[in-house]
Amino acid sequence: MRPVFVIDVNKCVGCRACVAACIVEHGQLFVAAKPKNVGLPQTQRLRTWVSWVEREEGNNVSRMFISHLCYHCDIAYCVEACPTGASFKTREGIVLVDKDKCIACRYCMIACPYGMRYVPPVATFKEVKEKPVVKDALEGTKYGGVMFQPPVPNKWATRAERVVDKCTYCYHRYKGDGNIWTPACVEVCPTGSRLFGDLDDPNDPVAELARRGVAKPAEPSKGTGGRTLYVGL
Amino acid sequence: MKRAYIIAAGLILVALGAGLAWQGFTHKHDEEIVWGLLVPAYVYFALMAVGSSIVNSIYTVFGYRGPNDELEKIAKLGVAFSLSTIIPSWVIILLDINYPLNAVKIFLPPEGGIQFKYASAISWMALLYMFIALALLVELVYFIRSEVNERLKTAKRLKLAIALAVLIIAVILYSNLGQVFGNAMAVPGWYGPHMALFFIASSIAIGAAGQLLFITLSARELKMANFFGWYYGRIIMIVIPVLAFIKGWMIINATYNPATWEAYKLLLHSPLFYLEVLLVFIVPFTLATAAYYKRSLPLALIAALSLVVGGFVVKYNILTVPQLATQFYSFGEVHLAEHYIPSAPEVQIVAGAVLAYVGILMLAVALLPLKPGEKPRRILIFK
Repeated sequence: MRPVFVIDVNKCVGCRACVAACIVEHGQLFVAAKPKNVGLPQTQRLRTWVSWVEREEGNNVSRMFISHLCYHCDIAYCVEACPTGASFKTREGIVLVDKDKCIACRYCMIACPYGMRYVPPVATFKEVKEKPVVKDALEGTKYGGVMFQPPVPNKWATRAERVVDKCTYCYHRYKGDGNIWTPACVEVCPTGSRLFGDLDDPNDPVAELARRGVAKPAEPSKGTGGRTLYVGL
Repeated sequence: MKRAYIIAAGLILVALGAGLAWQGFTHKHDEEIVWGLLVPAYVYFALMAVGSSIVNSIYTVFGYRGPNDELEKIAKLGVAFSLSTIIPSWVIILLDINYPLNAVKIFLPPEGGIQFKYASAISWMALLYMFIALALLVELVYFIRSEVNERLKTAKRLKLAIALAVLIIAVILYSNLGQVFGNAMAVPGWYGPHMALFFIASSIAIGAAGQLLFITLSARELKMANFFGWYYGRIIMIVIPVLAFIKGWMIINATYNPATWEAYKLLLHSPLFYLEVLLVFIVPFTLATAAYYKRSLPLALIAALSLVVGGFVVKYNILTVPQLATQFYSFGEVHLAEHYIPSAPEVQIVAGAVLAYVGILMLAVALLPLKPGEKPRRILIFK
C-alpha cells in the first residue's frame, strides 16, 4: 500500500473544517482567530492549515484557498537530518515523528523546505483551562455548549511537550490490514477537496489522478517528490 | 593567597552562571524563529574553541616556535583556552534542546543498543565535539606531563600525532558545522558551500583574539608584550582580509538567487550588519596592522576585544536574520517569522554560560600548571 493525498484547490472553499477536525483528532488547542490568513503549519503551529491567498491582476481580484500539510517526501530531508532516528518513514512511505525519541533539536524543521513541521505551544490542561477562550467555552458547556473531547490516545497525537509535531495522515487510524484508511480532515471536507487513496490500487480514483498527472507536487523544482499532490495549483 | 582568591572567584562565577543559565532554561519558551539566540551563541563558542586550536597548531603541528621559543612557553595556555571554550558551547546547545539529558539518545536510543545516524550532520557534530574535547584533553595532559617526564618531552612523534589529531578533527568539525547550515535547503540564506569557509576564517580570527585576551590577562608575568602584539597582530591582520573576501563573495553570490537575496537584503538593511563591519573588519584590521608593525600589545588587545564582540554579532546576524526572510512557494510568499528579538530566558542562558566560562578560565589558570616551567601538583590526572 502506498497512500497518496490529493488536494483539489478548485474545490476548496476555505472553511477550515479540515483544520478543526485535525485539531480535535490530535488533541490540540484550537484558537480560531489566527493573526494571518497566509501561513504554513510551521507558522500556525498546527498540523494542517488552509491559506487564503488573494491575487490581483489588473481589475481581476481573486482568492484561492490552499491546503497545507506534510508532503511525506520521497527524499525526506527531515528524516536524513534527524540525529536520533525520531523522524522516520513507515513501510507505507509516511513520515512520522517518534516523540519518545525526539530531543527537540529542531534540525528537521530547518531541513524541511516546506515549513510543515512545528513545535506545539506548550500548554498543560491546567494552563489551557486558564486561557480566556477556553474559560468561555467551559462556561458555555453549562448552557448546552460542547467542549472538544480528549483525543483517542495514540502514539502520534500532539503532546503538551516541546517536541516536534507534524501531519501523520492520521496514521493511527490504519488498522495494519493493508487497507487504506480515511484521515480526519478528508472525512470532514464538505466539498471533496481533500482526497486520500492508494497508489497500489489500480481501481482507486484518487490514485488515478496522480497516475494521469492531473495531481502534481506543489514544488517540483525542489526535487523531493512526495505523497501530497495538488490539482489546480 | 592570590591563587585562593582566584579559585574562590572562579567558583562563585561558575555557580552564578550555572544558576542564571538554569533559571533561563526553566523559563524558556518557544521562539519566533526555529533557531534563536542560543544557536549563534553555541556556534560562536564552538568556533572560538576550534579556531584557537588551529592557532595552537602553528606551533604544535607546523613547528613555528617564535623568535625566542615564545610559542612553546604559551602552548599549555593555548590548549587550556581551547578546551575551556568548548564548555560554554556544550552548555548552551544542551540547554537549547528542550530536554538536555535526552541528547544521549543520539547514540543510545530508548529501545536499547547503540546507534549512529551518519546521514545527520548533528549526529556528526555530537561525535566530533566529543572527539575534539578528548583530543584537546590528551594534548593538555601531554604538555603538562612532559614538564616532569623526560621521556614524554622527547617523544616528538607522539606530540605531533596528538597535535595532528586535534587539527584534523578541527578541520572536519568546521566542514561539518558548515554543512549543518549549508545543507539547509529551507533557509536559502545559508544554503550552499560557503558556510564552512566562512566559519573557518571567522573562527581563526576569534580564536586568535580570544586566546590573546586570555593569555595576556592570565600570564602578565611572561613579559612577552612585544611578541604578542606582533604575533597575534599578524594573525588577525592576515585572516581579516580572507574573511572579508569570503563575506564579500557570499553577498555577491546571493544576488544571483532571489531567495538568498531576500535574506541578504534583510542582512544588509540591519544596523547590526554595519556594527559587524566596524567591529570585525575595520577596527581590528586597522589596529592589528598597526600592532604588528609597532609590536604594540595594547593595539592588539583592542583589536582582539573588538573581534571577540564583533565575532558574536557576525554569528548572530548570519544565523538569525536569514530565518526571517520571505520564502517563495508556488502559491505565493510566506514569512516563516515576522521578527525576532531574543527572549529574556535566552539572554539569561547565554549570560549564565558566559559567566560560568569566565569562572572556568579562572579556575583553569589557578588549578592547572599552565605557565612555563610550572610543575603539576594539584589535580590528580595531571600529576
